[in-house]
Amino acid sequence: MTQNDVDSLRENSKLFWDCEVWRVVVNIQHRFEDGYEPSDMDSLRLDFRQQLPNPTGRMRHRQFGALWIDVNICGLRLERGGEILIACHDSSEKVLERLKELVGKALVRVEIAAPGGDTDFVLEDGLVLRCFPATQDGGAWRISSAEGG
Amino acid sequence: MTVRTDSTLFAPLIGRAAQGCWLGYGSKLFLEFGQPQPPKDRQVHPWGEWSLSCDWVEWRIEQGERVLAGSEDDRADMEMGIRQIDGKTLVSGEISQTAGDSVLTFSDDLVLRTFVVASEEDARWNFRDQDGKYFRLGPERAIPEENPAMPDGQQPK
Repeated sequence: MTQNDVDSLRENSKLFWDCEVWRVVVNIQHRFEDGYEPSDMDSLRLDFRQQLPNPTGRMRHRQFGALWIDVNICGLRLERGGEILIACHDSSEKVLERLKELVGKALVRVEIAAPGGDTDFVLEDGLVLRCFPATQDGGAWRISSAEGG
Repeated sequence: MTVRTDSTLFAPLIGRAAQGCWLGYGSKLFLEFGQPQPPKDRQVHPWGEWSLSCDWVEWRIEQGERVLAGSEDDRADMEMGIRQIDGKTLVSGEISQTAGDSVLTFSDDLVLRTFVVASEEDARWNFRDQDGKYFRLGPERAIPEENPAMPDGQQPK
């Protein structure tokens, strides 16, 4: 990932800054083996909404878009103040319990580093979702608008 | 945020060249240092005077502005990346004291980064010294290991 790629990604991510997570979708892959049943996070999606500038009636927000992270090709942790709250290979129970806390949190900013594409999604209350791409191309996450763009 | 790191844990390996690094089961990485040793018993992989292997991490090998390989790449790509470490000298090694992530810098601008993926295990590197003693290296600690888990096909000394 070049510095130009990083700059472009960061610029696109700015559309989501200050948007609020209204839904968290976690896919867990559970495997059955002989005497062993590992479960790992498969993907994480954060659905964002934006407060309407002039809310009318009960309509106060509009759906804005989503951040999707492919946890099969990256490491992922949720941290606060440098302390790991959960990591992607923790128990499913622990992962699910913590990730539900993201509902209602606003995305403050996104920090990306070349060449690996390490990305910090900085949220409210000092929460940081830290993504470490573990492939050559570094493309472990994407954002898309509610219209699909 | 400034991340505090411990740069002393890798001190015995600083200035030594890696030789015979290899990929174990899955994406487990084995770094061998010093003179390659003659194989013993059922050993199927090379081993050096000192050895490092890592658990519960994702890793990435970078050189300058390029990513050579990562732990979720195809096996052939991972092996190609690991071969690039051979012959390089370890210049520095740091483990962050909070998460346990590490950065190992080799000659020729080659960098190995690891990222911890399990919060309940605080020792991420297994280190074997010249006397065959095993240690688990984590944030601020080097713990002697009584019964080391041996890599594929190797026997304790």
